[in-house]
Amino acid sequence: MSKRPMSQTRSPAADLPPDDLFLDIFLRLPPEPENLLVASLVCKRWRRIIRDPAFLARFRAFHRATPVLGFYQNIGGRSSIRFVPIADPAPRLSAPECFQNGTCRVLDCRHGRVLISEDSLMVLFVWDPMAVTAYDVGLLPELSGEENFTAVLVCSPGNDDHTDCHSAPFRVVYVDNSEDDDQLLVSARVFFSDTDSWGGWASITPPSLVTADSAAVVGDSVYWMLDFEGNSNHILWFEMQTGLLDLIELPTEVQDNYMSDIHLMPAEDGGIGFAGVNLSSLHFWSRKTDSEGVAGWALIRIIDLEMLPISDTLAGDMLLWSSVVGFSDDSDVFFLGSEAGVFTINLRSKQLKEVPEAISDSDIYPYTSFYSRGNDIIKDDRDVKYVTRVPKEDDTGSCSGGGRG
Amino acid sequence: MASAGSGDEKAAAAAMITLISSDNEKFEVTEATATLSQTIRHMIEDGCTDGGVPLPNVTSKILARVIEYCKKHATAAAGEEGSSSSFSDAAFLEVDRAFLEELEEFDDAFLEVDRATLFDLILAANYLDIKGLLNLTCQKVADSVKGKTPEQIREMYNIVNDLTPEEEAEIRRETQWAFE
Repeated sequence: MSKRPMSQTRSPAADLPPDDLFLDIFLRLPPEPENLLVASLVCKRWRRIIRDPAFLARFRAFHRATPVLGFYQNIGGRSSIRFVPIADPAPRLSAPECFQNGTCRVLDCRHGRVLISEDSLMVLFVWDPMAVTAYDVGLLPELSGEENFTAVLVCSPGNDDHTDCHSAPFRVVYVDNSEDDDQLLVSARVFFSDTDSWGGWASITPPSLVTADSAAVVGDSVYWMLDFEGNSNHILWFEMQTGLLDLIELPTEVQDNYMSDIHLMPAEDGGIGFAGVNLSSLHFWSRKTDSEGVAGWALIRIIDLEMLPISDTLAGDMLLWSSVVGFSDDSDVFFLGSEAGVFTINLRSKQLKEVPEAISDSDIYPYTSFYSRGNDIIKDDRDVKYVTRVPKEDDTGSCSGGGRG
Repeated sequence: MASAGSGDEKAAAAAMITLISSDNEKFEVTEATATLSQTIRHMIEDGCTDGGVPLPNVTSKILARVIEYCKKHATAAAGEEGSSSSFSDAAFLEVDRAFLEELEEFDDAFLEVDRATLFDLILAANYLDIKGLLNLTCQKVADSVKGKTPEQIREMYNIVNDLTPEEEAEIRRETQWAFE
């Protein structure tokens, strides 16, 4: 913090310090968004200071890890979307009625927004729970007929610190699985919100199909797990810029050591990585390229879960063979599902906490956000209420593309 | 710790600086104490401290408190330097921990001041560029706001609510997710 000249005249508002010192005070409020929100309701002056984009950028840089406010889970496959708050006080970010009609499910949740599939209408939505608006991505691209697809929500380049993505342009990377006479085909394409259009298809013949497990986004690349079936021991790699779709082989010991249960995530050294539990140890792997340009996997970190404290005792074998059911790369928080229940582990503080409300056999989509200036950035959207586009007969043609077998 | 730091203390004791408050009161402090302030450190480096350092923005009441803080923390800094150069012995670690605890207690007691004094300390810490003191005092105000309602905060700091009912309703509508 550099020294600032002190103003000679005191603010007329009694003896309160000048604005720039209030910045230093507000910066030290806890990162959960309601703290800035309450302060912005005190008076016009505080509101003006707090909603200044420059201040918000500093606030996010100061706190670094985005707070996890709760998580979404699809209950009973796709019959309802549940929000479980884990911040205190509990934020109310439940999906509205129109997403609770038994045909919607969460596909992805990143940087404060949620990607929802409406399976009966075959429409994707990008929903901002804080702004209570939804962006209709429109009719799904040509399906394999089995609704066997998954999709990932990615922020468009230009907002790379991902600290306030609520109103930023986004991309949806859509992956379709198809199986025809034992011939497998995986195809991917990208939706661009800034041009409101889909890009072309990229396809590959994989050894097995893409799973519905959470994908990992690293820079311009998206990675998905493939089923550990037959001789498949691979992940799928899609590069958005080039449209390259390729396979990456996993280390041979993955199936034995982690019971074929791993979670893809960005590695701490900046590339793609994965985490898996072996007995009571959480292992982190990273894909690295050596000096001769040969890429390979390396085990980079092991956390002994037995030794982590939980409510005045040690975890012991509580997390034996648990599985990673969710991960928030904004906040370094893992969700582990075990026979004893679902637990969060904060990789920075090594804090372990039980989440009794979570359902252990369903994927967890953590919701993270700082304070956002909310709707006044996107004023025009304020009155938009879940516009659902009903597919028309002639729409189907526009969504099929070339490049598919 | 005491033996390790005594040489530095002697050297520092030789160099005294005179600080002059806005109400013309003079304070003699060691250079080690004064240089916790980056502003004064730069003045010493530039050789413009002869005849005292006038601080027209700081009253004698506040300057006395600031010096009290700097004296305590300058000793702590000297202690840290001393212990890091000596071998890490269990006895030294014990002394270090006891010292840190004492320092924390000092800081807590130091912050037991009224609101006007706290804000004056923030202004002085900013003007004199004393990072530790600025952090301490700003965190104190932030902690006092944490978990309070807007009404409670206004009452605590005598702030008049100048938001119109329409503006307030609009903010609450925009942020429905946060309210019961």
